Amino acid sequence: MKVIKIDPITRLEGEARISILLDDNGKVKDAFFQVMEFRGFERFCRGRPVEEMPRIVTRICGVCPWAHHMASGKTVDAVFGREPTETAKKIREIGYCAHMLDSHTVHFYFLAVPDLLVSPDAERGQRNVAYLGKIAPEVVKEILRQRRNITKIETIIGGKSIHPVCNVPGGVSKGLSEEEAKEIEEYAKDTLKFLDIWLEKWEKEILTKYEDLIYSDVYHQETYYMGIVGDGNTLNFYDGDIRVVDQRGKEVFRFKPEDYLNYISERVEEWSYTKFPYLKPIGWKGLVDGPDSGIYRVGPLGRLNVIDKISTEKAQEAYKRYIEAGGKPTHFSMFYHWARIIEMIYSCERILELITDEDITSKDTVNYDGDFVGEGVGVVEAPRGILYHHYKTDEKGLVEMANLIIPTTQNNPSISLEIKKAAQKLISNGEISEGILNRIEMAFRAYDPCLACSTHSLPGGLPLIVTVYDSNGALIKEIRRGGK
Amino acid sequence: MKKQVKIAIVAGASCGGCDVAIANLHERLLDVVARSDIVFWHTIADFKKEDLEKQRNIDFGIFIGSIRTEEHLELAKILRERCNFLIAFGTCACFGGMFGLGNVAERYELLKVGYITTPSTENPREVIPGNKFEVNGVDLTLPRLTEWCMPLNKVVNVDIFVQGCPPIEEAIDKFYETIIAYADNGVAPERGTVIAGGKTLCDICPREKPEKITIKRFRRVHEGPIDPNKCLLAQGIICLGPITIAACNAACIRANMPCRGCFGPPPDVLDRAAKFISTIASLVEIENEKLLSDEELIKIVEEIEDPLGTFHRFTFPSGLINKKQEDAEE
Repeated sequence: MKVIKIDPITRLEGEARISILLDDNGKVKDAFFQVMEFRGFERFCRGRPVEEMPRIVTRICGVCPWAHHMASGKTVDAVFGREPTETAKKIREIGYCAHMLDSHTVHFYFLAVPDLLVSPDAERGQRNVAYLGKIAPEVVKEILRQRRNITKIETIIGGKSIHPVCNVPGGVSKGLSEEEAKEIEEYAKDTLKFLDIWLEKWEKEILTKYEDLIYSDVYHQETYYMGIVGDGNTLNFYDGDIRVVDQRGKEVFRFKPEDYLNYISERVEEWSYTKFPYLKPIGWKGLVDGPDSGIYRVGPLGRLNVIDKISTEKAQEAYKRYIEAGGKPTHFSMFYHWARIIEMIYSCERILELITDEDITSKDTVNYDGDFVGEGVGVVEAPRGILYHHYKTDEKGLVEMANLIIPTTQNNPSISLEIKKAAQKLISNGEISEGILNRIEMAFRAYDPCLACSTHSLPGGLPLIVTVYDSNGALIKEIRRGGK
Repeated sequence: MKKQVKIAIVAGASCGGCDVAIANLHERLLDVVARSDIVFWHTIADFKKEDLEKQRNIDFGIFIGSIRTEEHLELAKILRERCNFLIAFGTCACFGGMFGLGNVAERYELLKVGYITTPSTENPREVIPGNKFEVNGVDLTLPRLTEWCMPLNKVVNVDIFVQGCPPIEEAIDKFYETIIAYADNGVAPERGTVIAGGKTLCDICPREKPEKITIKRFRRVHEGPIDPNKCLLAQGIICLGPITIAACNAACIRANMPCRGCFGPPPDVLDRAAKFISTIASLVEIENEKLLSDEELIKIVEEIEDPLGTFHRFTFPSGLINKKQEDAEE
C-alpha cells in the first residue's frame, strides 16, 4: 500500500494536512484531512464574565471575528434576557453584512478569481492576485479600493475591522451619526455597482469558459444542507429559524437555535483536532454522502439551498438564474463561488435598506431591561456557514460552560469526503500530475477554509508537497510544486 | 549597498488576524515583497520544517502567534538559529495572547473539555486527538500540545517586538521602514526595539479625565449607560488604559468600550496584573481612604469579577505567575 501525503499547512482555523492512501493497485483507498491545532477556548472561557465573551471569542478567528462577535452578542442578550433595541439590531446587521462583503471579497477575488480567470491548469505562480495585478492592474486596484471601503464600514460600527468590540448585552455600545450613515450609504452604493459588473462577468464569461469544470461530477456531493432562514424562508445572515433540507431540497428539520442539541452531534477522531459534526436524527455512517448519512453542508451553497427566496431585488434576480443553472438544491461545489457573488449583492442591498431607515441614527442603542436567565444560545450565518455559541453561567454571570460549533468544523466531514472523491476520480495507478493536484486543492478551497483565502493572494503561491510512501512507510517519491 | 533582504515568516498558534492585517496593506506589502526574498512563509505555503532547517543567514525572522504545540516550539528554535533578527509579531508572539488564558488548566483538561464534556460531543470511547496514529507505518500523529502556552521570548531570544492585536497599519509601516533601511543602507535595528511607542493609552485618550480619579464602586459594562466622553475608570468601569501601550489609536475607547489591553503593556512593565492592581488600589476611594476600614476597601476591590481574565487577558503567560499553581483557585 502507498500513502500520498499532501501537506499544505495552509491556515484553516489552524494548520492542516491532507494524506491520501492508495491500495496495492494504486487506487485511492482512504483520505485523511487533518487539522493540526487546538487552543482550548471551551475550557478557558470558563470563569469569564459573560458580557465580556463577545470580545474574547473574536480571537477564535481573525478572518471572521465578526461572526463570533455576533453569535456571542446574541448569546449574551439571551443570558441577560434582553431584547436589543430596533436600532441596535439594524446597526449590528449593517456591520455584519459589511463583514460578509469583507470575507467574501477576500475569498472571491484573491482565490476563486485567479483560479478561474487565469486557468486551473496554469502554473502556480500565475494563479494569484499579484499575477492578476500584472495582467490587469486596474482591476486589482479597484478590488483593493472596494475592500478598503468595506473595512471602513466595519470600523465605523465595530471600532475595529479585525476584532470588533461593539456588542453589549441588549445592543451596541455606540450609535451612528448622520455623517457616518451617509458615508456607509455611499460605500454600499459604490460596491453594489462594482458587483454588478462581476455578476455579469461570472454569468457571461466564467460560466461558459469553465462549464465542464463547474458541472463536473468530481465536485458534486449529495448531502443535507443547513442554514438560517428569515421570514418566508428568505436569506438572512443575522437571525431566523434553522432549516435543514435533504438531497432533494425537501425540508426535513426546522428548529429554534436553543434546540440545536436535538439535531447536531459531533464525533471525535484521534487523527484530527477538528470534530466531525452530523445530523443527530440521521446518524453517523462514516465519510459517505446520500440520505442515510448525517453529513450536512453549510455556507453559501447550503444557505442558498435552504432558502426559498431573497428579499432584495437584484440578488433575487441573480438567485433565479442560479437555480435555473444548478437546480435546487444544487450539489455542485463550484457553485459556492457563484453563491458568494449573490450574497455580496444581497449584503449591499440590505445595508442600503437598513442605513436609510429613519431611526438608524437614534441614540437608543442599548436595552438595559430584562430578567437574567443565565443560559443562552446564539446563532448567526458566518461567511463560511452557520455558527453556534452556547453559554451557561452562574448567578453572577460568570461562564460555567461554553460550547462553540464552528462552520469549517461542520464542513469538515464534507471536505474530507470531497478530497477523497476528487482523489479517487483523478488518481489512477498511483499516477499524479500537477493539474490533478490543483484540482484536489480546488475541491477543498471551494469551502473557503478560512485563511487559505487571504494568504493565497500573495506572491509565491501555495506550493504542495506530495510524498509517496511504499507499504513499509519508506519514501519512494516526492513531488513539489512552486515555492522554494 | 542595496540588497535583497532574506525574510522568513513562521506561525505558531494564531487566529490569523495578524496575517489579515498584513494582507490589508496590500500595495505597500508588494513593495516590500519586491525588495525581499521570502524564503519561508508558514502561513501561505507548504514549507516543511526541513525547508526552514536548510536555510542559512536569514536577515529577518518573523514569528506570528504563541507557542502552543511542540511543532511551534521546534519551529521557533530553528528560526532563531537561522536568522539575524527575530521579530515577535503581534500580541500572541509578544506576550502569549488570548490563548495564554489556557494556562488556567493543564493541557489534558483543555482537551477533555473540548473533546469529551462539551454538550454536543458524542464521544463514548473518550477519544482524545493527538495520540500516536499510524497508517501502514506512516506516522500521521498530530503535534502534541506543549505543557503550557508561551510567548516567543520564553523559548528563544527576541530582538524586535511589534505589539498589537493585530498591529495597526502605522506599526507595520514602521517595521517595513526598518527592513527597508537595512536593505538600502545596512542600518541594523537596535536589539530590544519595541515598535509601538512608549506612551500609555491614557496619554492619548480622547476622554475627559478628572484631576483625581476616585472609584467608589466598580461596575460591569452591561450594568448601565456608559458616558462616551468621560474617563471610564472615573465611571467605575475597569479600563486597562493605564497599563496598555498607546499603539491602537484608542479604537475601543472611541467605540465607547473600555480597554482590555490587547496591545500589551509598555516595555517597562514587569507583571501587568501586579502593576494594574497597584494602579487600581491607589484609585479606590482615594479621598475617603483614611475614613474607611481595610475591610471596607477590600470589599470594594472584591467587586471586580475575574481579575485574571481581565488584567491578564492577553498577557497571562508573560506574567510572573503565568500558569495554574498547585492548589490555587483561578
